[in-house]
Amino acid sequence: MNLMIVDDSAAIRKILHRVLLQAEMPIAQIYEAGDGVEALELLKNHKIDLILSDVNMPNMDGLQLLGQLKASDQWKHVPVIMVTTEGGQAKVLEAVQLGASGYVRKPFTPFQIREKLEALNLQMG
Amino acid sequence: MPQLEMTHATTAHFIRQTTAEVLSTMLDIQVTAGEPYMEDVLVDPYCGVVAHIGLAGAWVGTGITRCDELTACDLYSRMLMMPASGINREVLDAFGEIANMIVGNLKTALESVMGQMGMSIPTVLHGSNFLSTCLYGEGLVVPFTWESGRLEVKVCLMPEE
Repeated sequence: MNLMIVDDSAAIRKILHRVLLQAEMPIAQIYEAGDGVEALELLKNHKIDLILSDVNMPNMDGLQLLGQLKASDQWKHVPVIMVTTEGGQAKVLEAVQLGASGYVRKPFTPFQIREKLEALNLQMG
Repeated sequence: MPQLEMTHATTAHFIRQTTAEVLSTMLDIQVTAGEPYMEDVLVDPYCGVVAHIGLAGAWVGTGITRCDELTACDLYSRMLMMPASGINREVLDAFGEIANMIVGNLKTALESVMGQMGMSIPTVLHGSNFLSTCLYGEGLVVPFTWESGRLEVKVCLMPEE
């Protein structure tokens, strides 16, 4: 499967990249984007099976990206896990209502990321 | 005035809580929090790395993290588990993300007392002998230390008029 990490922080992208490689999942490729605009460009040219996305990003934030994905027939079935400092109930609810498949608050441990991936893997069968 | 003092005590508590959680979870650093203090609008020239994050809502202001160059490199190497050769774009990016997590979680905690707030993306500065100031009056500073570094977290907030 192909995964995409969307975060304006190169440090977080590196950490998540490492966590994903250490997870016991059949990962073929991990793509990285610095914001929602870059993510949509990558999606046009690559098949992506799962997205981990930050919320606060320049150009297009994670919730705007989520909204665009769920409004698209082509991408609405791609699961999106939000990984963000935004831990307030309102933001979490907004993400869930937009169609997020999971929500992980920063700071996170590798275990918390793997736990969300495993839960999603079970849902996807 | 009593309400303001309560806010400072509450803010200091949340700063300690969120900073300890971020540094422990992401960097495996156990910090010791020092005594909080108020800092004047204009501060002495600084040498090191500073991150500014704007906050806006019922209260407006800035969340700031700052440290010297050695500490910034230490934070990078612990976060990414690789050595830092010196201050570069990657070190500043990691420092900005640490600030983002500390101030972001602080914002979430403060919202229970101060109402909803929005948050900007971090601006990170590096240099020597530079001045940095908030236009919102005094700021509350909480220093944190560990065996190989020292980080200060500062919050300047005032009610939106």
